Amino acid sequence: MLFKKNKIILFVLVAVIFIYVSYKNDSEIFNKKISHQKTNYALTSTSNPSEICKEYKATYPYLDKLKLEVPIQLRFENTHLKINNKIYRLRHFFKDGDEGEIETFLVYLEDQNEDAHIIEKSSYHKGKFYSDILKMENTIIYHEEGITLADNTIEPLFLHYINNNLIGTRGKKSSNSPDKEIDCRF
Amino acid sequence: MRLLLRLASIFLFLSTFNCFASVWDDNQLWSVQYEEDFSIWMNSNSVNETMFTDSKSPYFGISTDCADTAYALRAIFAFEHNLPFAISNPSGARGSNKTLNNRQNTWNNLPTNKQRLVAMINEIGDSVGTENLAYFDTFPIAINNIAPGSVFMYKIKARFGNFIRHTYNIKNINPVGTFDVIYSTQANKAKGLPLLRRKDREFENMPSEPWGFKKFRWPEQLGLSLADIPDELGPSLEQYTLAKQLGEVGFFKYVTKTLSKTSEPANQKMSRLFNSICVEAQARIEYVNQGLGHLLETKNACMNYEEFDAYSTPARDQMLKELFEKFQHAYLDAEADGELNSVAADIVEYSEVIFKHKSAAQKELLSVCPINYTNGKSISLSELWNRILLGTLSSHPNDTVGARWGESNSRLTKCKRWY
Repeated sequence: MLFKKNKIILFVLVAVIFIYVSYKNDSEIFNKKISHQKTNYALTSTSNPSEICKEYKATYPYLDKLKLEVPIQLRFENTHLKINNKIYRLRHFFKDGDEGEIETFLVYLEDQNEDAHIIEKSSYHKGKFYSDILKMENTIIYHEEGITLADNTIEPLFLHYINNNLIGTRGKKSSNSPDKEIDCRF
Repeated sequence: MRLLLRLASIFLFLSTFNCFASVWDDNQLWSVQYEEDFSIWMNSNSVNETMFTDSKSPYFGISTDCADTAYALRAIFAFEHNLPFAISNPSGARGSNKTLNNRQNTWNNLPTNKQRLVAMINEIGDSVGTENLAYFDTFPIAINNIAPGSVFMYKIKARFGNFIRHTYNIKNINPVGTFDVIYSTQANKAKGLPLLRRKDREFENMPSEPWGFKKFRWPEQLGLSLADIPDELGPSLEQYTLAKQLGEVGFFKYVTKTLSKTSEPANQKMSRLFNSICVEAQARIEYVNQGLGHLLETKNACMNYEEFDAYSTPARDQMLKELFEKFQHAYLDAEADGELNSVAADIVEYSEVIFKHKSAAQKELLSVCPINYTNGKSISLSELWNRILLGTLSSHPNDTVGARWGESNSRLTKCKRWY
C-alpha cells in the first residue's frame, strides 16, 4: 500500500518536474526568439546616404589612418578581448561631473549568452584588472571608438568607428561650414 | 521515500528561481499615443524627487546622475506599460546583443521584475554618460514638439579646455514657457540624495548638435538617420539653425514664446527670478559644506584632481552669477517699460537693495532670503551679489569657509587649482 502511494507521489513529482522542465525549455525558446528579435532592435543604417555623407565616408574611412593624420579626442572606446576562452569587454568613456568630465574605465565579463556583466569599475584611473588584462595574451575580437576631431570647440565633428571602419558621423566639418548635413549613418 | 523527499526539495529549490527571466516581458509597441502618455506620466506625481530614495517607493534603490535619470525614467515608464526598452549597447554592439534592453536575462538571478529593473537601470548608470544619450539614444526635435518627457542637454566649455555636460528632464512646461525640471548630478548620486527639482527653470546654454532639446528613440529607431524618424514625433534640426540665427537670448526668447500659453507679466517674472536666485544661493551652502566636510576628514590636505572635481564649484558659481544677471535684466526691462508699478513692492525694493545699493529694505531682504553660510554668519543676496561682482567668492574647495563666501580678509589656499 505504502509502495503504491509512493509510486503515485513519485509519478506526480516526475510530472511536475516534467512540466517545469518544459516550461524552462519554452522560456529558453522564448528567449532565443527574443534574442533573435534583439537584432531587430539594432542598428539599421540608412540605405541611401546623402552626397555630403558620402563625402565624409570618403574623407574619414579608417580610424587608424585618421589617427596618423589629424589630432583627435577620444570620447569612448570599447574593446572586446578573448583571453583563455573568456571574453572580456573593456570600456573607456567619460561620465559627467558637476564641474567637468570623469574619465571612467569598466571591465565586463561575457556569459555564455554574450551578456556582459560589469566586474570592475574605476574612475579617473584604469583599475587593476583593466590594466592587467591589457598585458595578458589576448585576441581583439571587436573594437569600437567614438572620437571627435580635436579642434576644441563645443560642436566638433563626431566620428564613430567599428573595427576601424567609419559607421556614423554627427556634426559638420567645421561650425562655419555651410552644409546642413549633421547626421550620417553608414 | 528519501529519494522522493530529495527530489521534492530539489524541485522546491529550483522553483524559487525564475530562470531565464527577462527584465520584463513587453507586449505593447511604442506609438504617438504612448508618447503622449509618457508626457502625462512625467508631469504626474509618479515622477517625483524621492522616487529613488524613499524606501516605500517601488523604485527605491535606483541611483542616478544626470544622464542616468533620463534613462531611468524612460525605462520605468516602459516597464509600467509593458513597452519595450532598448538603448545602444554602451559596452559595444557585438554578437546578438546589439542593444541593452528589457528582454535580456542578464539579471535573472533576481526574483522579481522590479528588482531586475532596478539592476538594469543601475547598470545603465554605471555604463553611460550624457554623450551616449546625445549621440545614440535621442534625436533632436522641433521647438513646438518640446513636451514633458523631452530632455534638454547641453555641453559648455569650462576652464582649461574642460567641458561640462548636463541633462535636464522636462517634467512640465509652465504656462509662461518656463520649465519644471527634474534631474540629478554626480554629487547628488554620490550622496544618495533625492532627485533635484527646479519648477521654474529657464535654460541658457545654446543647443548645438547633438545637444539641445531631444526625445528618446524607440527601440526600432536606434541607429536610424533623423530622416527616418516618423514626422509625427517631431524630428527636426531647426533648433540649431535658430540658435545660430537668433543668438542665445533671442533663441530662448523664441522657445519661451513658442511654448508659452500666456505671456509672463513683469510682476510674475521678477518674483520667479528672485525665488530662483534665493534657491540657488542657499543651495550653494550645501555644496560648499560638502567640501568643508571633506577637508575635515582629510585634515585640510590639498585636494587631488578627483577631489577637486567633486568639491569645487566654478560652473555652479557661474550659473549663480548668470541668474543674478537675469534678475537684473528683468528689473531694468520693467523699469524701462514703466512696469515697475505692477511688480510687487517688496520685490522692487529687494531689486533696488541688490542692484542700486538702497538700504531701505536691507533687513527685510536678509530675513526673506538669508544666506546663513556658517554659524553666526549670514549675508543677504545684496551682499552676495556684491561679493560676486568683486570676484571674491572662491570656488576652490581647499579654501576656508570665509574665503569660499568671499570674506575680504580671508587668505586663499596655496593648493593647486586643477581647472
